[in-house]
Parts: sequence; C-alpha cells; structure tokens
Amino acid sequence: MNANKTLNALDIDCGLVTDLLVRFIASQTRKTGMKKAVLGLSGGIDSSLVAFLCAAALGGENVLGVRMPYSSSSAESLEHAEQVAKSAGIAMCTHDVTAMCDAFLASSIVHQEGSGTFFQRGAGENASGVSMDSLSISNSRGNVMARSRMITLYHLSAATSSMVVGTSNKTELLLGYGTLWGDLACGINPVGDLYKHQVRQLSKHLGVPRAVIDKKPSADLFPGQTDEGDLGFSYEEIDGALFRIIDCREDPKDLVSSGSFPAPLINFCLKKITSMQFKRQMPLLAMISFRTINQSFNYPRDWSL
Amino acid sequence: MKMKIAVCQDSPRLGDMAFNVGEHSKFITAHDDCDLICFPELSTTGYFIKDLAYDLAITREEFSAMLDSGTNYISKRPSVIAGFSERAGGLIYNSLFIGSGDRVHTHRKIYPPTYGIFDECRYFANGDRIDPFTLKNGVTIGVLNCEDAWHQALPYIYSMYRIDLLVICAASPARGVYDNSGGTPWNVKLWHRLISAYAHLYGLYIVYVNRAGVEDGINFSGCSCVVNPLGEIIDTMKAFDYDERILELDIKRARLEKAQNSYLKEDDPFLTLRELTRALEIRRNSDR
Repeated sequence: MNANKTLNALDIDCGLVTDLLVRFIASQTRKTGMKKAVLGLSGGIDSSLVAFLCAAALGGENVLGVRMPYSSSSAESLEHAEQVAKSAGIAMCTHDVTAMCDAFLASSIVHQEGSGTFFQRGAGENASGVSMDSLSISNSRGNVMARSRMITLYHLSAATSSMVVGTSNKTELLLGYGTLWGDLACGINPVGDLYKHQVRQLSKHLGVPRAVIDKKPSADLFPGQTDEGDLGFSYEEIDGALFRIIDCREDPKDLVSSGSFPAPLINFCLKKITSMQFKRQMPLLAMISFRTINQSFNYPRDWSL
Repeated sequence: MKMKIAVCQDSPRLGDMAFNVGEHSKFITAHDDCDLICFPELSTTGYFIKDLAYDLAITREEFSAMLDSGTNYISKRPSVIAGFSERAGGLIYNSLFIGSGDRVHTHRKIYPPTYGIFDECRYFANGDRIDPFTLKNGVTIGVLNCEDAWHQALPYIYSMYRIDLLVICAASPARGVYDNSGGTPWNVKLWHRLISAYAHLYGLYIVYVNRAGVEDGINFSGCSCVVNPLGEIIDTMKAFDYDERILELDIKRARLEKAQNSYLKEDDPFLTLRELTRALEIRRNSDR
C-alpha cells in the first residue's frame, strides 16, 4: 500500500461517524445534568467541525463558541470563526485574552534571559522567579495563551453549566501537538479519534465553510505560523504514517524498507508518539496502599450517571 | 407450536441497579402475555462496571426475588432472561439469569473478553458449564453471553441437546466506520453473519439482543436481530437507540428444519471428540 492508497484507506463513512459523534456529545453532556456546551472557536477546521457536531447534538441555541484572540492573532481567524458560528447556528462571544496573558508575562515570575534553572535556593527576593532561554520563552508565550483560553472556557462552563468540549484531533494527540492543561483540557472530546484527513472529510460532509477547510492549519500564536511549518511534514504524510503505525500496527522498519514512507517521517512520528505519551494520561500517583485510585480502585467515569 | 417473545434493546444506567431493575419490571409487567422476555448482557448493572462488579454482585436467588417483587413474574406466563453480576461459591461472574416459574438458572460467561477496550477477566471469574434449559412452555433453549458466541464450540455443544432457540445477549460497542461500512458499523455485520451461519448450521432460531446507549464515551451498536432456522434475518432493531420488539416464533419450523438438516443429522460428534483429542496430543508433542 503506497502513501496515496493509505489516505484512501483512512476515508470514513461520514453519515455513520456523524451519528456516533452526535450521540456521544448528547449522551455524555446530558448524563451529567448539563444541556449546553462551550468551546473555543479559533476559526480553524477542528473547532469548526466540533461546533457543527455540538449544534447537531444539543441544538445551536445550546452551544456557545468563544473567540479568544490575542493581540497578534490574525483578523482572518476572527472572521472565519464568525462565519462558522453563523453557518452552524450557534451562539458566539469574544473574549480578548491579551490583557490576561500580558499581565502574566510582564510579572516578576517571568524573566527574559538565562539558562532555565531556579535562581537560588531558599527564600529571598528573587527566589520565586526562573530564568529561561529565548526559545522556551516563545513556547511559553503560546502555552500562556492556550491556558488563558482554558481559564476562560472553564469559567464560562461553571457560570453557565456547560460542558467544555475539546477539539484536539487524533493526529495532534498522537504528536503531542497541544498544550497540557491548555487546549488539551476539556470534559469530552468528540474528534479525538479522527485523523486530520478524517476531520477534513467530515467537515466537508457537514458543510463547514470552504474557506476554513481550504486554508493552511495554524495555531495562530504568531503571524505566519502554520502547523505544517512547525511539524516539518504535511498532514497527509503524517496521517498516512500514523495510520499505518498505530491502526494497522505495521512494523515501522518495514514501512521504511518497503519504500512506503521516508525514514525521517517515520522517526519523527515514533519520537513524538512515545515522548508525548504523558500528555495523553492523567497524572501519576505514588502507590502505597492496596486501593490506589485508577490502579486498584477502578470505577467508570459515568458511575451512576 | 408458537412462542411469543419480547426483546428489549435496553440502555441501562451504569451502576444504578435499583433503577434498572425498576425499568425491567415495567417492561416485564407490560409484556406478561409473552412466553419469554429477553434483556441484553449485564442489563441490570450496565456494562463497564469495573469494581462495581463486586459491589453489585448478588446470588441468582436474590436476583429472582428482586425481579419478582416488582412483577410477580414467577406466577405469571413469561420466563425472563436478564444480565447481572452474580455471586456464587465465593466468586463473581458475568451471568445471564433465566427465571422460569420457580426455577432459576444462570449461564456464567465462559469467555469474559480481556483485550482492546475489554477488561472483564480483571473482575469476573470464567464460567465453565454449557447447560440447556427447558422453559416452562416446554421449549429447550441455550443462552450465550456476548463473547461466548465467538467461540464456535459453544453453539456446537448446545446443538447436541437439539435446542430450538439460542438467545445471545450482548453489550457490543460499535467499531469499524471506514468508507465501506455502508451506514452500519463493521462489527455489526460480522455479528449478523456469524449468527446467521449458526442458525442455518444448527437448525434453530437465534435471538441476538444487544444493548443500546453510551457508557464512558463508548457507543453500543444495538442492531439486535432475530434469525430463523434457514439463517435468514427476519427482524433487525434500531442501531444505537432503545428499541423493543414482540414477535412470534414457530418452534415447529425449527424442529422441521432440524429434522431435514443434513449437516446436523450426519454430523459425528464422536469423530469430532476423537480427532480433537488427537490434534491436541499432536500439538502438545510437537511443542508448538
């Protein structure tokens, strides 16, 4: 199976998958006693698809899409988000996260230069701060934005008794391309088992605006950023490789030696899959008893819901 | 000889046995003109019960009393098949209860699956008996619990008793949604194919009662069905949602099909037994 055939093999039955995902959202939201959902609306394809699915599951009047721009976010993202809210028939509001991000980034806890160590041991005037190199600072800024958006969504969730619905797809989750406790934070995620290719296919099926489907995916953390620029490979390449490694459980060595995929792509995927495992799990607990939470104390999440 | 059956493709509330038994009682009471009422696997507890398997486990006598207190089913016409967590001999089983008048029987799941999303052997012991059961209307049935049905020896063994009806209770999650699905999850097609073959090979009716609903994010596929002794699916229920069906089976038909079914008539189970034993010896000696 060559790379193109692999992508065809990823094609889903859109009607059936929509049915499953809509039931997932409706059931897992209503069981908790909630009727509504809230999600971040970035103007990108993933959150657009989730907006359409939530509208189908809960009714558009029960879904709130929140635009959360930072000062450097593109105007196009905001326009696209608005188009999506309109075409999906959901409510929309806007909360600019620039003030909360900048206030944090300007605080004394963040220092601009250094090697990434604690300043000094013990208590002292500077003991609460850390130093960072410039790359870490750039990544940190993105994380601060993602986590500010998380704070906003969870605030709205508590205020309106709404389920926070996640928008990370399977490709992003496998690569760890998301911020822990930031955009990865959610109550339920209907698209976490869909590769980017499948997100695109389903988005076309459900009528997500064409401009959103066709544009280059971007985290929009700084001008000109694209996912594929960050990752170094196209989503088509990555999806094909991940599908063969994860879903087909093929030997990565065979995928390279057969000429199906280039070695750098396979190695990139393997490294990300393994090193980012921690982002896909709950925190580890140190076990000292015979009834340790999630090890030997095992109850379903829907316990009596 | 006609037999009236009510099939309930239910969606229990996970871990809330009092509520689920209440729902069962309503259904049984509403259909007490039937000969048999069938519920899915673990229908009174929910499927992904994990440690609740221990918390909710009761004996079959206690289960029968619980059902009877809301229905008086013991003194009425229907026999009842339902799923529960059974405590027996100090162990816990994923069991199917059969109550018929004052007689109770349980089929303890022989092959609790432990792979992929399934983790049953962590909580349940394995059953080790395949016993037919004769209902109070005189029809002898077999019951299998979900994964049991994928072990072809079990329906074969039931066929030795010349049962007329096999009831397969299930909690099967929907999987396989690629482009070639044609609107039905792939594993539903595999189920329907499997039981159609059994019904045809062994000349019996099969009632496949699967559950509906969503638990911990997992969609159960529904699509319960009834297959006649020719291997034809005569009724299929909704995908994913609650559904129910009342139908009349002509047990004489199954007996006729069995009588003229050459696969069954000419089958030599002693040859099977002999050759199976020999094959196992060869396998053991060849150290593979």
